[in-house]
Formats: sequence, C-alpha cells, structure tokens
Amino acid sequence: MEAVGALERDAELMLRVRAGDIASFTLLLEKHRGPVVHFLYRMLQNQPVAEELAQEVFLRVYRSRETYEPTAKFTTWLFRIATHLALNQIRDRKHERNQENLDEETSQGMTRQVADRGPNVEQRMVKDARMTEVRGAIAGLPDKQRAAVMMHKYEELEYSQIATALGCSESAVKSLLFRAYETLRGRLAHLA
Amino acid sequence: MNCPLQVNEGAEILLDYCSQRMDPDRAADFRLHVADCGDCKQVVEAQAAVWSALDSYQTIPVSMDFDRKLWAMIDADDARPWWQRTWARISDGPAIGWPTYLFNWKPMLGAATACAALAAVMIVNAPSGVVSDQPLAMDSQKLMQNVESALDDIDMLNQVGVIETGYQGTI
Repeated sequence: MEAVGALERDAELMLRVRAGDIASFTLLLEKHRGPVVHFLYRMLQNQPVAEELAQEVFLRVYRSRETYEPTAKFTTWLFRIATHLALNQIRDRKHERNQENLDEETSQGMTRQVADRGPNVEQRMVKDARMTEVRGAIAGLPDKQRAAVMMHKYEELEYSQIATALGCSESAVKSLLFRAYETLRGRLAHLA
Repeated sequence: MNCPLQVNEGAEILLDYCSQRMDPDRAADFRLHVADCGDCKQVVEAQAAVWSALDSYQTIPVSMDFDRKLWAMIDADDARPWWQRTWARISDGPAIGWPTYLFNWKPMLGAATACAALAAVMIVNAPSGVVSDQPLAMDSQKLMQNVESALDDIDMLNQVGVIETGYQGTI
C-alpha cells in the first residue's frame, strides 16, 4: 500500500470514527456513497445488487473501524473492499447470470435515464443503442480488466491505488488497462 | 521522441495521454509525435472514441433508502453475539487488506499434508524402547521360567542327594 504523507481528510475522518465519532462516518458515507454504488453498478450492471454490495462495503468499513490504520489513501482501502466484493459476487453468480437479466436491466435502466433528455424518439433510440453497446463491451471484458477500467476511467484512481485494490503490481495494472482498452477500441471505435 | 508503440513504456504513455494524465510538457512532445506517426495517431483517435463512448455510460441515482438500510445492517451487526462479530471480522480479512496467505486454503492444505507426513515418519521411526515393551516382557517371563526350572532341578537333586546345597525350599 502507498504511504500517506500528510494525513488526508478521509483518513482523519476514519480515525475519528475509530474513536467513536459516528458523525464522521456519516460524512464519509455521504462523500463516497455515490462513487462506490456507481462503481459496483458498472461492474455488475445490476442496481439492486450494486446497492446491496455497497452497503456491505460500508458495513465492513464500519466494522473495521477499531483496527483501522491510515497506511494508504482511504479511497484505496474503500475500493479494495468494493473490488473484492464485486469479484466475489461475479465469481459466485457466474453460473446463474444470463443475457436476459442484462437486457431487462438495460431496457429498464435506459428508459429511466433518457426519459426526459432526448428531444425525440430517434435520438433516444440512438442513445439507447449506443449505451447498450457500451454496456455490452464492458460486460465482455474479463473481470479484473473491467474493474481496472472502472477505477481508472470513472473513479480516476492512480495506478498504485488500482494495484492495491486488485492485489497486483502497478505494471500488471498497466498491462491490464492496455489490454482492456485495446479490446474496447476494437468494439467501440465505430461509435466515434 | 521515440514511438511509444516501439518502447516498453508505450502502454503507459498512451494511457496517460489518452486519459489526460500526462504532464503538459510531455503531452506537447507526444502531440508533435502523433502528428507525424500514423500508427500512434490511429491508436489515439480510437482511444478518444472509446473515452467518449465510456463517458456516455451514465448510472442511475442511489436509492433514497440506501442509508436507512445500511444503518439497519449496522444495528443488526452490533446486536449479534460477540463471537459472531469476531468471526465476521476474521471473514472480512481478505477484503479489508489482511495478508491473503492467511486465508488461502491451498498453501494451508500443503502445510497440513507435510505435517501429517512428518508425523507419520516420526511414528514409524520412533525409538524401539517405546514400541517394543511386549518382546521385553516376554524375555523376562522366559527368564523367570528358566530360573524356576533350574531351582526345581536343584531341589530334585537335593532330594536324591546328588548335590549338597543350602537351599531348602521352593521359591
């Protein structure tokens, strides 16, 4: 784990949680709830499961408060827990996952997302199709590559943070990312 | 500037440039290179398209009752017996960053097999005094029988007057 020179704000809050300050946990929750849920949603492509797992992430953070040590950035630790749970979830449910769920979730989710944005039906359909392609391309990535891309692209974590979250070296992360983006270039370049 | 596609750190250069994480001076150098390098230009344009496509991947808002459910989970967790909470903390280990070798059953299985094999070897090669009580007991019994037999013989010879000993009775 990377060392934390000056104690970052989140780590300070977590140390207060360790000392029994529940309000600090609420502040951490407010700040990181969205990113964690969105990361898990993009990883699993299922909103209810993503939220359940995100709650499990914060439960584990809270449960570990007494042994917390600020040896790394708080977000590194947080996404390490989230990644671990997401990869376990994918592994456990791989056999029961099917395309029907994905399609159903896509159509429902997309209706909610674009209902009041697209000025006309044609544009909405184009956007739906584009989103479906993006989701499909991401879902087609191997689990670790997908996690690496999600943390790199959407959470803007550093290579060292992604490496810690995935339990591998920085060079392995760069390799994962390069291969993942190479695959995505093949699948999504035509959307330019 | 060397072509990133021809050097080891090329992946990192392309990733950093396309995700706008490269420092401005280096980015300017790379931009000049891209202008002259068809291969890099192609990769950068394709990556920009991927970046733009990924930007369009929106998520939906977090449920309103997210926090309520979380606090219910926390309360339920706090209400569990101490041993269940302790077990839960141990189970959380791999996720919260404890060394993974503590939770990996494969090396543990190997170590357990090695210990079992070592124990078996120690039992088989144990010192004979520990495992050979029975033969020793049999030797003692035979010796006693021989002594009794010898004493009986002396007694009999004594009675017929062949030898003269101080021995007068039986054991």
